[in-house]
Amino acid sequence: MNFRQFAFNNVKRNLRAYSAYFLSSAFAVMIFFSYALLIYHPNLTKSELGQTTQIMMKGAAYVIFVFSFLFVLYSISAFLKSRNKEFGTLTILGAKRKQINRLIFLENILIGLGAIVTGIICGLACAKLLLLYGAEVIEVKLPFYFPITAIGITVGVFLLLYLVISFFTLFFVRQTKALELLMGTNKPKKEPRAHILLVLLSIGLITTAFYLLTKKIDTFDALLWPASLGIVGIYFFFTQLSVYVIRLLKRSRSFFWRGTRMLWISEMAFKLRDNARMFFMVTIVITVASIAATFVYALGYEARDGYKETPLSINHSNNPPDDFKIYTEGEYTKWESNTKKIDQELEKAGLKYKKVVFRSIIPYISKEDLNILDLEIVKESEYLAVATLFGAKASTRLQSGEAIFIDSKLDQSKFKSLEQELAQYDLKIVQQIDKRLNSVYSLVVVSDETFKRLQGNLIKKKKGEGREHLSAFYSIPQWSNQGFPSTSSKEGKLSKKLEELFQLDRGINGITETRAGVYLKIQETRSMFSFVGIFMVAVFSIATASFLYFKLYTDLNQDQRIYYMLSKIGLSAREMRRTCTIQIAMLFFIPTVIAGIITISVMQILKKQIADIIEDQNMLPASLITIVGFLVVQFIYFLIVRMLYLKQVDKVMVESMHS
Amino acid sequence: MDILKVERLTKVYSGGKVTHKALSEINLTIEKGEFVGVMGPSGSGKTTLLNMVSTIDTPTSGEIYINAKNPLSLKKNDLAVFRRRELGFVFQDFNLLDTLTIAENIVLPLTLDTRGIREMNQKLQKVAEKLGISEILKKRTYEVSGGQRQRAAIARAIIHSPSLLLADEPTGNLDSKSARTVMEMMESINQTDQTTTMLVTHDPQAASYCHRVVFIKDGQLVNQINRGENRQTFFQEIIDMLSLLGGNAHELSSIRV
Repeated sequence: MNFRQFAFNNVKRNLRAYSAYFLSSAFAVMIFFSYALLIYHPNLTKSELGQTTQIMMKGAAYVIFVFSFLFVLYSISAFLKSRNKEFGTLTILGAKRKQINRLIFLENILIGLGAIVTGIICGLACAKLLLLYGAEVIEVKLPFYFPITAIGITVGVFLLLYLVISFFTLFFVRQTKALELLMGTNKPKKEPRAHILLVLLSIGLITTAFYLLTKKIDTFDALLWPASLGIVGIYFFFTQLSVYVIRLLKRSRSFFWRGTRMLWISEMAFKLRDNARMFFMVTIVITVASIAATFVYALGYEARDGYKETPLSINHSNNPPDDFKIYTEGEYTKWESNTKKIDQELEKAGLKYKKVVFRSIIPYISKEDLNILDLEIVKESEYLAVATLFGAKASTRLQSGEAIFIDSKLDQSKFKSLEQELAQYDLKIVQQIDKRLNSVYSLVVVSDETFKRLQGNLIKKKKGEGREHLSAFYSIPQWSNQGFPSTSSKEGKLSKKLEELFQLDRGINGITETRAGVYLKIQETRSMFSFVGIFMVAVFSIATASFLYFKLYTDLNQDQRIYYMLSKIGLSAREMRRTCTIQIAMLFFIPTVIAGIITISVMQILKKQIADIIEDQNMLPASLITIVGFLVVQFIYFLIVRMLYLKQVDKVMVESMHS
Repeated sequence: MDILKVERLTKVYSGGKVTHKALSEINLTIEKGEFVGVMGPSGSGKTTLLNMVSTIDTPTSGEIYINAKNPLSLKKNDLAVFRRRELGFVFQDFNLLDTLTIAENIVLPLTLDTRGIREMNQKLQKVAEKLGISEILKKRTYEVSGGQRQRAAIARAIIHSPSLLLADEPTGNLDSKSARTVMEMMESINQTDQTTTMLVTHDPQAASYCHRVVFIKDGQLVNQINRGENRQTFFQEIIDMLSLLGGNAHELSSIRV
């Protein structure tokens, strides 16, 4: 038997011990491969829509890769720890450090190769389902194909990963003392300790992070501070605060010395510390995913509301260069011919329509400051023509300085700043209408005289501080906004076609915006986010579950010994199950519950801040749906892992020996 | 009064084609306050007997009465409670939980029974004093010596004043000095508290602390000797009996069944 054979036999004949590590590695490969399979699909690479999707998906691929790396690294460190005794024996028998390193290296490569092959085969087996689902979400046909690129990339990437990890692992087995290795996992662990200063630091950091969130956040950097402080705070929360809380619990004898509590609380102190880093990682990932998912959900409400509140189907408006200028009629010929083309398309589709054209001014173009609304000022006489299209009542004639404000997405808290903004132009709101004519601008109607005055004012202003706008609005009675359009509906198809018609013109020649188009675009982004999101959630939660199972499995022998002894001195099987269930449940749900609390608190605090992006939505249901979704998935894994674990421990209970 | 009464106890292991009779028709009675040793060569059936008495294994035939109750008639879930209240266990490898302090390990049987804090504290102080481990109650298991660990384990076994204390090779993992201390403790507990004790051991030195030693060979009770005035003489008698039974005294004292 030469050394290579020894390594091979080691793996082959001890498959049970290696299986947990092998399976989790194969799983990581499978996830990555399925992902690659999808993003390198030929139809997806070709399609127009695929472009943005691919960028997003590639980003996700990096995240998955990094996670696989950490996942495999964690697994291997836990796996090697459980084999310390074996390495000790080898050392005593006279194996050199170099030989043990080589053994570990060979084994790793062997398991790595096996995992790659298994992962790819399993991935191929699930490919059809995945492609069907992917096609459903991103609405591109994705037939099954033989993914040579994906296989190549997966094999390359993971071979590299295993090589790197094999070198890394040499650092894990650093204890040179054979005795220490021989004692291996049997060596009692030191009690976890928490430093009071770090505990206070953790509380301080988390409080500061939440405090900073309540402040005004107008730039990305302002968000960076609370986020990074919070992350560090959560790290110490798991490594220090949790240990400290358990120590406080232990101090109260009347609480701690009661029934099985003593057993599981004292165990938890160790399990929490051992898993603190993983808890931290999982919590952060779930929090980020939940916050993102909350936005995605809210975006869905927003899209529906926007669609319902937009009475007019099509709006073709120009977007002239940034200097203010009143154009002469002649300069609009291209714009006019473009609107004519829209007319023709509608006629061709056999649709009846009404069309109204109006001129407006945009007094100020805000670029960064989210607190300033984008306003479009229109004169009353022209507005009335538009209003008749959607059946709004014609108001009494406006006096000079009076204004009607039309928008459905104004948060009441912003009303003050709106009034201030309008005061600059000596305008005062006398009426508000809950409609939306345009996805970007809020409409302000003023009397014809006032309009002229404002035009005059703006001409005097500097460059870039305002511009003129010419819009054509179409009302198509056949397209009601009661239901929602799909991409394949008539409204959806034609709207998309119209939007694409003048895609290259833009600027002064006008850009077409349709109600259905805006709605569908948001929905499209949403499905993309959901798809990537669901994929990531699945990956992270399955990975966490299998990692936890792996850890439990490593400690199983020791746990079995303890429970056998406890069973002898009178711990009933029912009490054992309760103790184990509580512990496993904590391992599974602590990160999710903490992430849920953080997400909901953050969203509640941020609610006002993000009212600009997502108007006046109650975020709570969206946050709750996301967190409950995570909990349900975790709960299923919890049940499976609990069942497997209890089955193993039940075996050693005295009760099961009577039969 | 009889604390333990074993009647015609037989255990047959049948694995496939081979059947093995581990115990055949054993009769044994231990009275209240007695300290009885069980000895015998490897494979004689000592551990099987102990497991039956511990209620963790069921006999093929025969009856066991502990404190006039028949544990075999109890339901599975009640058995755990029975063990927890009526029996105390001392193991060769101590079996203390590393996650708990010495004090917490000792009160564990009471905690599982959800007794009051005041009662637990009182009993803990009393039993710790008796075993001379009051100083180390706050320490963790890996911070104390083997002898101290076994004394803590004995404290755990007697804190709930069990009807019967079962000791399985309690000195097997200890050096001779610690072994002597542990046996002296067990003897003194037996004397002062009238704790009925059954000790299974290979170690003639440990067995010499008993009132009476019974010998098992090939699943049958072969002999028993009572202790006279002198422990040293008793020790010699035990050694003689072991050699008579065909075992080698030196070999026996280091190997466990």
